Amino acid sequence: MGLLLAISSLPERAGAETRPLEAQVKAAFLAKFAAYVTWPPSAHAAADAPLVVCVLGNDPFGANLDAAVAGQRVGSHPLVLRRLDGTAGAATCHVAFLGGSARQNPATMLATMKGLPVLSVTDAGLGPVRGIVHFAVKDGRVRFHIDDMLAAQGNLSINARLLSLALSVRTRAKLSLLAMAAAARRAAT
Amino acid sequence: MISIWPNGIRRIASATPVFVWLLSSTPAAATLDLNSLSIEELAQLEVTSVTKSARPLSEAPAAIYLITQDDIARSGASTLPEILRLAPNLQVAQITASRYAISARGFNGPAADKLLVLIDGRSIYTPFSSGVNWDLHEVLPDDIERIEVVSGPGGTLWGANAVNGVINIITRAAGDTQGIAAEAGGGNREIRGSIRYGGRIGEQLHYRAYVSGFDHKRQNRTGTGTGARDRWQKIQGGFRADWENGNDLITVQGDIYDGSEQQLTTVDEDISGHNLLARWNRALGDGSSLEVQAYYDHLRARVPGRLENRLSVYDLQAQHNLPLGRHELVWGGGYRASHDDFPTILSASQMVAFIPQSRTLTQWNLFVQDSFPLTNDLKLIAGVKIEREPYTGIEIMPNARISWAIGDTDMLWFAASRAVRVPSRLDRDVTQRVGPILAIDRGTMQPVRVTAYELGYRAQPAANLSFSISTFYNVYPNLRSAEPTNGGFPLRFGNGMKGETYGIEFWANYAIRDWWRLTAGANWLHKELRFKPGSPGVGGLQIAGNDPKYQLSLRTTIDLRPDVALSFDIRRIGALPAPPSPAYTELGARIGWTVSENLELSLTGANLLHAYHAEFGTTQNTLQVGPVGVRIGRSVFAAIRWTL
Repeated sequence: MGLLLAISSLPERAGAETRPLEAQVKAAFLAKFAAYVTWPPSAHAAADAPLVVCVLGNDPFGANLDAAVAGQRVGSHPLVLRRLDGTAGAATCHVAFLGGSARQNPATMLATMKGLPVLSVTDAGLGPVRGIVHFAVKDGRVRFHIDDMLAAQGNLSINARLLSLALSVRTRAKLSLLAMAAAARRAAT
Repeated sequence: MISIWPNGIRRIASATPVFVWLLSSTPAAATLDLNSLSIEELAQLEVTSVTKSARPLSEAPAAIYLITQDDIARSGASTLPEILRLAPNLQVAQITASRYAISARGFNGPAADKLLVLIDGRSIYTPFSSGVNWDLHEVLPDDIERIEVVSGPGGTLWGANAVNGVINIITRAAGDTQGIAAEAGGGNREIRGSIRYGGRIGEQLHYRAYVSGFDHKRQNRTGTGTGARDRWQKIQGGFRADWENGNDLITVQGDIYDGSEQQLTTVDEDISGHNLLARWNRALGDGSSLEVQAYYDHLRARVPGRLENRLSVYDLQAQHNLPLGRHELVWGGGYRASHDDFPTILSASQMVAFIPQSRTLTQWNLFVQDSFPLTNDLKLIAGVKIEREPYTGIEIMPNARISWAIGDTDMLWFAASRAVRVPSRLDRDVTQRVGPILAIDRGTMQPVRVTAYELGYRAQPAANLSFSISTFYNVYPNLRSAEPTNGGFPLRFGNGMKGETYGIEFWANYAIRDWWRLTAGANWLHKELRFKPGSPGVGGLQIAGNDPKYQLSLRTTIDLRPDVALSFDIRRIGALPAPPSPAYTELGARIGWTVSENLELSLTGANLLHAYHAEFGTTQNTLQVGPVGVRIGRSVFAAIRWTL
């Protein structure tokens, strides 16, 4: 719902490459999520170690994401961007967008990364599989679902301000046993 | 002369056909530096519509001001009229505790009849007496997602009575209001409280329910300094459920309320009502979408032993958004029936009767509008609505708008439109006897039409600065008047006045820092009205409305700390001619402290500069239905808000 005056869409200009706003907004979100997540101490090599935002597989953001990450910091951690072909090396990421590739679809990527302290981000446009954050366009706006239980399994804690913006939150409380079991399994291996 | 309308005539609220558009808008230019936005702002940014193309507000070729949830929360305003003060393109004047005069581009009064208002697609413009009864309609401020305030005609899309403006109040989806939110507060003039619970059933069904109530118990002052007897109490409850399944979105919502308003000369007036609305949106495979909406709205107003009237409105409407190549077509139609019952009011001095006492009025409409690019930078929107009015037959409301994109951020737009205000029961069926004299007989009024020309410019010279300037020239060939019969009584409502208005509306937003924002607004209005030859001009030109020449406002919000938000707003409103009301300056302020994730404390002050001030004079206005203005008192209000 919503309203309105008749309105025009963005003029499609030849030359001035108009990037889809949706990708721009998602890129901006990706660069901002880190500020609302607390990683376990083990996830940071040093107090000023970079916070790594990764795109695994296909990259729908292009230069938007470079622009969004450039020069940003979260506390003492500078934000850096890495593009990886797949989940190999994903353990070094703090935030990872699962773009999927010819070899690994987002579901496979997510399964591979289970238990890692990485904020996995998926997109409803790429399939139904949901990472910790799952982008979905609702009422014409980029919003997201949050799976806090999955976050708990990775030992991540998500700030309430981010949770409050989520379309839905799968809470960790209900399934803390499962999270504890996952943590125990990690400790054992 | 004809003086005081019996209280209660103006009652009876309700609906007008309306089209809620899927094409929605928010205040963000595509070229905005997104990285400078907060995550909340990003989440509010409109990126697609049903046609999957970006439609930022900066592209709308009209004078639209957007009030966001954040603006509302920061203002501390708790009623719709107070929230609407945030829009610089509206004139808002408080008459008594519960009653307001609100208009755009002039013709303001307690029965201002040229502004159409919708809450989630349900019109609250009353087809009984024309105008909006602001005391009847409450929305939990926390549940409002945004308010789109359009100054200028909107007949092509919204139909009759969108003459000088349209206000769309849009509430948040049930999925966005999950959990518990409870608020309670009190101050020197009123106490109020509310509780809302939002939950879900499965993945697809979200719902919320709320109860709210207030007692505005301390009366304001009359012009002579005595108590104004305007205590106002109300309790309201309601719900909304959204069911989302693939391409379908079904919304069902409703409210029920009961209130009482103290009267200056009679016993208290009771008002009660309820409404129920269902809406179905379906995204069709070809990029098009369909929306069907139906609602029912009922109102009862009662002054025991004096009057009791009822109004029911039934409304059905449908629209289809259809992208066809470079064209974006929207078409649809609607049907409305309103049924009222207004028993004769008999007092020692006068008798007011509607003939017939009870009546069912029906209307239908069809409309189509197309939007397409003429060149890379020029875009044309053209459309027409054909509406069958209950008293006067077919009305045609065409509209054409051209926008010219200058660079990525600026836009020049021009619009020519025609809109109408159609006769209501009050204009056509009322009779009033004062003693032995038949003072008013059933009227012959025809629709009040406007032809409006608008020119506007909107720009964003820097990422943190944007402004809008709109100008208008409106021609009204047949304004409402009261015409005598053979030089004497009875009077009948007719169309003996005409005139032109022109003016400028300006507003700007400036983010000095992330934590410090300024919004400035200004408008100026000139009216050139006159009676037509042959009309004696009963009541004078003032019967058309009572407007300030100018309004100025400045609002600032400051995040002192992440958990402490401060806001101030100051407004200067020009003098009103009749009833006379001097120019005034007033100040509002709020401080909010987020104690913890779940708890917020706030202190809000309104009208801080004067112990009492008048906004709409303190004497009776002639020929407009409504109460005498009072002097509004300073208010201070402390609130606690708890969420889980």
